Amino acid sequence: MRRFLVKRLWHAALTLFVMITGMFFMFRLLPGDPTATVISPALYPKAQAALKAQFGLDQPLWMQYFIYLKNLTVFDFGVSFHTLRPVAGEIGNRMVNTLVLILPSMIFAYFLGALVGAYMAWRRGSKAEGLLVLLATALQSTPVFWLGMLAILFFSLKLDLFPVGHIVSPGKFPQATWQMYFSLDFLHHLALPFMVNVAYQFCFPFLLMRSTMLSTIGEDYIELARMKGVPENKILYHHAMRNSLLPLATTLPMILGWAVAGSVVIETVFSWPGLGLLMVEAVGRSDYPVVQASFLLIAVLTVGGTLLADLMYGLLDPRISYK
Amino acid sequence: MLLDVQDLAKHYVLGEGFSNLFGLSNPQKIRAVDGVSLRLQPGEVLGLVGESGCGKSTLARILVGLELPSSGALLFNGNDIAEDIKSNRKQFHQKVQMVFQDPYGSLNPQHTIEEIVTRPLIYQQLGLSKAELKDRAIDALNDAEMMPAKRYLNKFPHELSGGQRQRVCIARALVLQPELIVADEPISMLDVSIKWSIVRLLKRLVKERNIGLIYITHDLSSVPAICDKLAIMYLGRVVESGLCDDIFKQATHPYTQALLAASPNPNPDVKRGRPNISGAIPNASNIPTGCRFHPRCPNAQPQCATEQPAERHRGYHRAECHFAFDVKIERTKRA
Amino acid sequence: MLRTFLNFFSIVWRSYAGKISLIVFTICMSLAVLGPIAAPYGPTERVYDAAGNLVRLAPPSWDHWLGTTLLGRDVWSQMLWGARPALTIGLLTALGTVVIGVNVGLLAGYLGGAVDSFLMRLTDIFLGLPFLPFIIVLLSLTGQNIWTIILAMMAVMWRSTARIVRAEVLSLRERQFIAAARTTGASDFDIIYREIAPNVMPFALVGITFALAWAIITEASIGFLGFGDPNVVSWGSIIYDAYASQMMYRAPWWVVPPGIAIMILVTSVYFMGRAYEEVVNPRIKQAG
Repeated sequence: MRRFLVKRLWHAALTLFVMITGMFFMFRLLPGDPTATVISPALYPKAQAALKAQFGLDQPLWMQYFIYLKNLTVFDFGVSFHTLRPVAGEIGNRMVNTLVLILPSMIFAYFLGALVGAYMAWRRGSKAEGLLVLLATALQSTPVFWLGMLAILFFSLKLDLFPVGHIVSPGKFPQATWQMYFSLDFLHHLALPFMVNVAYQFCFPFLLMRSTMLSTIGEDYIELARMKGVPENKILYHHAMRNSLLPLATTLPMILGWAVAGSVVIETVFSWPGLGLLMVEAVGRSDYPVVQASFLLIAVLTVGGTLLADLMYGLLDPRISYK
Repeated sequence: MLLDVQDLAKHYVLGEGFSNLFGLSNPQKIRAVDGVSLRLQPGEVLGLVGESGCGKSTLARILVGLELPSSGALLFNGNDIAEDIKSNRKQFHQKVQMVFQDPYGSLNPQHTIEEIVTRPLIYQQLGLSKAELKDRAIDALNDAEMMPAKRYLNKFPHELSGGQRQRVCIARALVLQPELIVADEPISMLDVSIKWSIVRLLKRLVKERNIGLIYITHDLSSVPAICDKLAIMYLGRVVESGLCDDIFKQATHPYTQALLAASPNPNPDVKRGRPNISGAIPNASNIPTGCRFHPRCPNAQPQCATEQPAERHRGYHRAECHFAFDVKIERTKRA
Repeated sequence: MLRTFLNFFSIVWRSYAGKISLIVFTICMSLAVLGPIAAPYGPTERVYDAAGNLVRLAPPSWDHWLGTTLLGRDVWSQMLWGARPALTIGLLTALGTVVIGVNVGLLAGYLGGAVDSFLMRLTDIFLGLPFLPFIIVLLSLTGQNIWTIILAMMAVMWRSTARIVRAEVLSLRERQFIAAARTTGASDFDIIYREIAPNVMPFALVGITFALAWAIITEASIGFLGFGDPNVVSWGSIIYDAYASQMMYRAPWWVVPPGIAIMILVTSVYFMGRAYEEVVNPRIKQAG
């Protein structure tokens, strides 16, 4: 078990390291000078050089790389080209904002999907089942941002039930504090993106649970339970569902990671000040210290999710033992 | 001499690897084939008989070049196979073909019968045209008694019966016109009604084309119908060998006697002694001292546990037992 | 290979859902081919009324079936023009993805050892890569046109096919027909591409359908985030224009059709993939 853990941790670390390195060199070696926005070619050469030195761009490439790595170990992500302030100051907040949006809605969607999926497998062949499968597939095939826009169109603009975007009303919390997340105003803002994310994320666990359940229901021990006279409800939730939960549970962290990666889209629609939106904005401004930092944090969340999925697989499946 | 195997051995080492660098694990040596000698002339059928786990399949894999021996000599038409494989693998495979046990698993499920039978010619890069390939495939299928061959060309393996599949396997082996065929339990997975036709087919092919055939089986009942010579294997060694008739009439190794007693005989008048051997074949990683058969041998003497028996022979009939061809023991056993 | 491909359609056609989705998909394909011919206006053509005024944000009418945009473009025409990039980008990406994925899976699974470890580490790294953020960063550096979009998506998406194919190859290479091919003189290349590859084709086809679905949605997302090819009108870019104009609340006819088109197309692709998968391999779990 311990050896497996060490191996997985080592793989995750390696993955992150390769990504950090890849990102670093991608920015500096691909065509297009990302520093052009901050160091205008119109400046005097002397001023250009001074600015370059300020951002550490006068060093040779490999030196910049080592300085970058060294700074990362103390969570120093450099200075934003745009705000000229340290990236680290802002990015922590952004990560929390992403997590409060994605985590609860994902977990809720997962439970809902599992329950409905199990029930629909039980009622296989019914009209309701066919309709839900179609609906879920259609939802899965819909771009989330479009779903979000429709929701805004209908719930915010037409019915005026929810705000159009942002995490709290402007000016309400001039400084982002933890109290913000417990205010009614925040929940009011959260509601719409939460619902849209649930609707979108519901499909995967629903379809997965349904198909696993369908194969579980065919197993002999379900027949046996029936022959013993166990009530149908109990067979469904105790015998069949428990045995079908495994693939669902193990994919949760991975899907969570993917959802974090996909948050760029949903955050953009709802102007939700999370990591994804930060990254999209920073890319637009060619603010590459911020792009690198936000990408790195998103990657940490995805890789962490995959790692957790791997570990959970072993914990939950009694047939697997780590050697 | 078509095939001359001398003191061939194949040893596997388990648990050898990274962890072993630190002496953490104890590598186990498995002696799957442990000193086997065989000889075969063209047009002869040699039966190789033994329980599962005796090393006969490993021996077969070595003979067709799927694995290299750890030690010993393997001469094919006087040439060392190991050298042939290294320098000219394709040409070697052209001369030695194999028919596998499982007619379901040994045909690619995604290929048509025509593709299966022509693939060997393509892999050999003989530069044949499409028409020539097809002709050769039809000939081979006809030789394997898949008639009319044309009807089967576009079928997939799953559309054929077990017996038909095995004929396709034989056709695939024949299409390269080999000099030696190794058949690893070719009939064990077939229905009884088909078994004999496959055996007859193999026998006919050997005699007509002067091919050498090594016929591997765990079941002695089909042996007299096809084999000229016989070699009985136990735990990686040939314990008794000779002409088929001699062994059936006067088996001298207790293990062979037990095998013969265990195989059904259609003639109710034949009465055989019933040497009772018990237990299962030992693990090849832990071979008993002395005579490797002694823990299960009904006639075992103290000497058997310590001394490895030398080969004894009477004419072509050879056996590895301290008491082989010993008239006194045979009498006590029969009584 | 062609055989497996044709087989795909006959299997899909067998089920009810498969039949409908195949028809829907064929309609979308013909839209992509014929759409630009049938479209009454060009993709960026501005429409003026009899008085010479730009027809801005006109609601659906007989003249403009789906209304017009803020810049006076006919939405129905834009929809017809937009089918082609969605399907071209989707199909090319799916094809490239599967070609890379199948080859990586075949080589890793068959060769094993150091090659396998290296390729699987690489696959793991790509599996951990945040998909959309990576593509956006890549596009911002390489510039945005159809080809960079296709290449950027291909660069990441091969990962899942590679994993599935490798797992299959690991069991296939132990089968007896591989040993049989070897004893007839097959080289490693022969065994990988002539014996094993036909057997992973069904997986490749399932991979193609899911990659196609995923690529169409991703292309739309890229367009929505403003990283699409600025010279091409696609369904994603129509939504982006509507969103960026801040006028979508006044003109739902502008936003709704492209989203529905994407939904219908991708749903049909998913159902085709599932109909095929259920027959060919009941074991694979549906990938998101």
